[in-house]
Amino acid sequence: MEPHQASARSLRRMSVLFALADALFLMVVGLTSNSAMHLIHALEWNLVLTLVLGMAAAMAVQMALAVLAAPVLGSIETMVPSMIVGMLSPMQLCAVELIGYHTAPATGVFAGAAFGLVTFVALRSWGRSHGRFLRRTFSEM
Amino acid sequence: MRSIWERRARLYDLCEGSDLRRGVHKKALFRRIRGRTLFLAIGTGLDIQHLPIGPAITAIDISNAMLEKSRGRAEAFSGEIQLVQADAMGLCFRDAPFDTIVTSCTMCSVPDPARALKELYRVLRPGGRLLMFEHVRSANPVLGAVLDLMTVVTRRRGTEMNRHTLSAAMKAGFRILAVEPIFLDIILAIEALKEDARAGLAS
Repeated sequence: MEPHQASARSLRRMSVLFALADALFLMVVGLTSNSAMHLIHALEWNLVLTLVLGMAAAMAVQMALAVLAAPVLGSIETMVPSMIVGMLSPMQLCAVELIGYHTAPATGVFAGAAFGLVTFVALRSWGRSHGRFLRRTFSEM
Repeated sequence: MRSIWERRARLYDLCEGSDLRRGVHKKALFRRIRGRTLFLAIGTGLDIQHLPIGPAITAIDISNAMLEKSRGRAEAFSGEIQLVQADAMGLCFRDAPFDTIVTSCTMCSVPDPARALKELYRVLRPGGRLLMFEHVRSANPVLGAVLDLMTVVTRRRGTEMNRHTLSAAMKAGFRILAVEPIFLDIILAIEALKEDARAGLAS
């Protein structure tokens, strides 16, 4: 194998590994931030207090995880997507509670992991299409 | 601004030291370095390991504390590198001495990127290349909003997460030759050219 082929292959392998790690990371952020929100809901305080404290707990968990993962996955690469998951995923639980249903902890965890995975897929898909647009736009200049 | 970076020098490597993901992309970009080179904001010298051996490199930083931290890495570097304390917004060089200019996560941290890019344009020779490894504001509305929100906090530590570096480089007079997205459309490897007016006349 030529050196440049080995290098391209190793780059692709790294790219796949980082993609898997990103997906796993966002699933963990989703399930842990949902768990944090679920714990606050279980205290059965008033709605506004639950929302505010629940979001604060969820975001604290998300930021702590982003900081821990940053040395391996990169600071921006962890913080930016995980903020989307950390802010929006727990709102699933709040929305369900608002219409009168109580979710079991396992359901909240599963929903959080699923939200993390969906966010990863959506961002990656958008990144690829916009990346093609950027490459095309500036190679023609 | 200088005092922020003097303070951040102590823990910079701990917070930003991971090269695992971005290093291979920086190395690929820096392979395009040719001739006499200016490296803007060398920081603690984390990027020195990715620089090619051969070109004469002048690496600047506004912070003496950062330059002190980079000294060990510069001394271990097999190529030619000179460390100089300088401000990107008022470079202490005459017009057009450099063949290549490199920036690595710098434009997020200069108070006035338009002014800094004008200075880079001034000190780059006609036909010279500007190589930028930068994080910018995303065009995606959700990601863009997240970056705007993050900037509210990171600004206090001297970093803006929502810069429009591509358009700023074009406004400064550079022609963008290539953009390689490294992470979504947030981290980009950019190659730009300072056009040589004489080349246009000759053809």
